[in-house]
Amino acid sequence: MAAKIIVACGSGIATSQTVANKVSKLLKDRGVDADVEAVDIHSLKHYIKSADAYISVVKVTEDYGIPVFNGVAFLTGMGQDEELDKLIEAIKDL
Amino acid sequence: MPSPDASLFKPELVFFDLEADDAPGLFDALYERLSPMGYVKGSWPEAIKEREANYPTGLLMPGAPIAIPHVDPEHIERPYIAVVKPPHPVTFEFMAGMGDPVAAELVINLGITREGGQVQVLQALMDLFGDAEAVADIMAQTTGEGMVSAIVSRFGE
Repeated sequence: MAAKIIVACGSGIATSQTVANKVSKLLKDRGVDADVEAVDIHSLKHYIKSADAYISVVKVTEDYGIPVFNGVAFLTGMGQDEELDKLIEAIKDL
Repeated sequence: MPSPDASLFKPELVFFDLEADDAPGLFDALYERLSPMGYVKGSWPEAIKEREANYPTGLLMPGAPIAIPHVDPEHIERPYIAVVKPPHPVTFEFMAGMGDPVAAELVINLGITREGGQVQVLQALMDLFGDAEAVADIMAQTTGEGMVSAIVSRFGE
């Protein structure tokens, strides 16, 4: 089954959408099957229940019970390869 | 991915003379320019200040410290991208609290609407600001036309 990955930012349409597109492409290039969806921070609580991983471009203060990844790395490309490796490691056995 | 919409960048939306002590001050100064041109609504200044306080947008890119403030579409009249190179750097908190505050030398305000191609633009900008040579050229610009050209000419490379 495809892993479900949620990306959140304040509006769900700029930063998170950019990161979601990027992660989606990176995972596809690595042959990993996943649904990556951008949501706004206020809808996060709703979406996160069914998600396998959370990529954040805002400060994370809560424990959501699923692995959390650094969205800024994917946005800027800095530290992206390491973060991608960690993400794939977390979802590959689903 | 479709090409980024280069038409969102305009010489009239490049500002070199916005003096500010902090990010809220910069937003006030920017509002004074954007509002008469019909890009933003009256609710914009407070909305973007609150948004930046809650979800900061400072980034330390390989070529320069920058910030990419933006706000929900309801405060935008029509889509735009403003490029501000203030005479003195302005402090922005690091996005997602991932680092120390950055002294932003360039501030790119994305006037986001749901229909606009801002995702492509933001990705293109991030690719661009990952290239130190491109950033050096951008930071050396002194005119609106030069700035737009320095950014837009590199899209799609």
